[in-house]
Amino acid sequence: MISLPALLTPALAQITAQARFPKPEFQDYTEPLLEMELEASLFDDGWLRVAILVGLLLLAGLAAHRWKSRKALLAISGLTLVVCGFWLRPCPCPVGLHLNLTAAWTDSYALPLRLTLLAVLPLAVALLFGRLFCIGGCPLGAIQELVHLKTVRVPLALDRLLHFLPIAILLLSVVVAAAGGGLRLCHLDPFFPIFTFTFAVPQVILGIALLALGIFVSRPFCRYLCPYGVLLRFFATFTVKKLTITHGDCVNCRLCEQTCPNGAILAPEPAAWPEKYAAGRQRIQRLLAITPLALAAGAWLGFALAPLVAQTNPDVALVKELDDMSGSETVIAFIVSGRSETELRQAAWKATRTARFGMTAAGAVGALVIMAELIGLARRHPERRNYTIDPALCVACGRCFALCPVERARQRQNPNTEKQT
Amino acid sequence: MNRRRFVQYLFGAILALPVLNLLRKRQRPARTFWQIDPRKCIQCGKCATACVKKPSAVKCIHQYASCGYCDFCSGYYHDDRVRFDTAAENQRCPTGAITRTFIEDPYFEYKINEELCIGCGKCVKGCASFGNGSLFLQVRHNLCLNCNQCQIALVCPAHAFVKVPADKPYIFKTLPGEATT
Repeated sequence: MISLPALLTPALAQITAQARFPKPEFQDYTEPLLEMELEASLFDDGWLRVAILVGLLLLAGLAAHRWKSRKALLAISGLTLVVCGFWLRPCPCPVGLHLNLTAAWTDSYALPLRLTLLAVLPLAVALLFGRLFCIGGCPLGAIQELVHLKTVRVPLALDRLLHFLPIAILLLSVVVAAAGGGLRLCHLDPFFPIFTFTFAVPQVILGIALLALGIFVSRPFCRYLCPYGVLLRFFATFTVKKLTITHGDCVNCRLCEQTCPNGAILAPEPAAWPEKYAAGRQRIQRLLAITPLALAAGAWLGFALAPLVAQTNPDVALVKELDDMSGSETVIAFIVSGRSETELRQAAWKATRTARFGMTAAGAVGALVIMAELIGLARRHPERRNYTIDPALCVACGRCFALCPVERARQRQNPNTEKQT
Repeated sequence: MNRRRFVQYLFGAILALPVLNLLRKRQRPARTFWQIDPRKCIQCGKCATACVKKPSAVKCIHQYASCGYCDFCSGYYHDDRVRFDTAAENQRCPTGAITRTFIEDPYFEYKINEELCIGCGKCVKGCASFGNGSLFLQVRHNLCLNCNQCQIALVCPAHAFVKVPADKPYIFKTLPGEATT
């Protein structure tokens, strides 16, 4: 380790730097003004974004619930891509704003109403009308929608397994934000470089890879990576007005069965248990019995990972460097800044505590979600007479509308209902 | 009211929480921008590499009011300079973004060409070590995307990145004798 005085000398030299040389007195010279342009980039487009979001959600709602027009939904998607993806400023966006909400909850940072609305409106619409945001409002969804050409089905087991990944991402990112580690999802967004024409190499590669994959596997980011998608799923499960494939009556022709690339169409089923009643009851009893163990295991895993999460907090990382007696720039900057070490250690301890509590809770929640899914699989299926849309998974792409013969016949017979105002 | 309806109301209440949280906070939140606090910056060089934009949205600013207009500018000239002329090997700036113009004996004007500046901070370090410290790094709002989470802020060893309200979007270096804001 280098001696501390040797490290400090250049640093100290800087803070005592002012005015070594006196200001010259010029005879014939005008000093240039310090020009700092403050222009249109500083325009606050917060309320404009809310208005655009409301407009797009409204259009998507009309197109999906009333007109049932895939063409309209595609057009809305294209509009979303251009306006929300390229024209408007990229940050902050509803997909990442839930982290700002977390940070606002845990410290003195306050989020303005316009941004809170931006974060909450798509969820409110999901609760009322389904996941319309995914087609009208989200540029990430739009770009994947427009790239998807040939559907390759993901095996059901793999699909259900992969659905846990965004839950883990959500829980982890929320705890990191709550522990003061920053809003780390923003620069993991794989499409950010495309929309902003910037070039962070790992992100660009991920973005292009996801788009290439998206040509065959529909919406890989939305289904298997998007943390906001988890929230939308959560709120859309109990949606008030469910999306239906047709205004008319489903005749079980089975044509729509294979059309949904996101696996959101549920086939008709008689009411039944997946296995014999006695065996099924035993299975559920066993699952319920191990649920507390699973929760404990999840909580323990979370607790074990908590120090890693705590390291994302700059104060915690700095304390570690001080304890390791490293001569890094961070340590030098800390010494130069004159910040009290006691205060630093207190802040770091507070962040470590938040990380521990958050990760333990996150581990338990993750375990609970897995157990709930397993118990759900063993439950009695309700009867389904016709083909219905699963509101938690449907992103309102409208492919099923375009294919359903009952809907097509209805739209041909009553052309007025297509564009009802 | 059945179970489904109950859950719908519950979820609606959950959504109202963030809006209600706003009432909890007394201060009016304003739009914020990222800025570097020049007092904390240690010119580590990460501003040039960590920004999502290439070249970086951080540029060197010259606060002429505190400049000494020195002939032997330590922000312009390298420590191991061979001669005092405008040859690239003598300059600190790796992209040659500082232009040196003669004014009157023995004073020279040093101007930053922002199109060439990459925000590496080498000139700032030189000026602060042996000069008046009139050069400093700052985020330019006409270039900065104002990301929700500034990437440079995450890696800055001095934690010099702060959020400033929209009515005071730029932080300048305080001049000697000026009260610190």
